[in-house]
Amino acid sequence: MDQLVIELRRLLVPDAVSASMVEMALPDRGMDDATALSVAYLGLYDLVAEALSVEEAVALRRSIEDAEGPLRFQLHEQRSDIELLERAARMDDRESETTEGWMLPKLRAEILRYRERIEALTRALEETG
Amino acid sequence: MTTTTVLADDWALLHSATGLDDEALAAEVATRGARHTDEGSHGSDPHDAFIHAAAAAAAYRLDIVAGRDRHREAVEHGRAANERVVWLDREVVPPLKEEAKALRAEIRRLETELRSIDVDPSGIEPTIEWPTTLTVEDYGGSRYETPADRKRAVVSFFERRDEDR
Repeated sequence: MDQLVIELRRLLVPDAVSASMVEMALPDRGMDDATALSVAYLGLYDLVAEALSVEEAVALRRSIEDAEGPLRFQLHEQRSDIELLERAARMDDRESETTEGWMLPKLRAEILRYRERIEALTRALEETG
Repeated sequence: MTTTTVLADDWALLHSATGLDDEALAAEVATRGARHTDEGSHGSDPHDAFIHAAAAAAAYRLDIVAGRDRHREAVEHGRAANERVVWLDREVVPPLKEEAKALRAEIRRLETELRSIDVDPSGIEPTIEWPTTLTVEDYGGSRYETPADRKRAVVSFFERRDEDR
């Protein structure tokens, strides 16, 4: 029992949680993804709750409520960070695409043209001189 | 059947709490979970309050853990994209722009020389449509010494844009 309570408290810190997932099948009741997840977790913790005394359930609920703010904040931070990183990468990708797809070919073509003109001007000078 | 995904650590709790096998657990979880969603509110029963609080926290936790991979990918893609911009800016663009700059200066020098001996260079082919060319006269070399300089420039861009909103 103590081990279960310890484990439940450990799970309140996402960094300590493994990224492994388990897929579970639920009887089809026309549920969307969010409802299916809610059903799974409510059912899962209903079963877990049976192994807890009233005192343990109360204490754990308090711990969970204390942890909820930081969890929400962590999720918000993570999403904001991902959004910023992805936006910055899109901006960099666009800049590279513009450089490689437009600017460099244009610059190379212009350099060829400049060389041709220099040859023509030099020839004109030589012919005149 | 509808399938959903939960964290393996959450699932492992059930084994320690119940000792049931996976199939029996899934059926029991589905029945009990459906009962809670049908009931709607979770009243003042301590176990019930724990169940709803724990399920809500578990959903946040799942989102955070699932977001780790996306975050890692975003960091890696961001680094690669940033390094590519800096590589182009430092290694590829400068020699070409410097070369274009020198060639343009040479064209102007030759044209001036021709004019000085009363030859009009505008009739000599190929001509250059200067307004459509890339301006390189003011080019002062790479904008970024390190990838961190580029990163700062991007962050500063978003900060300025967000301030303008």
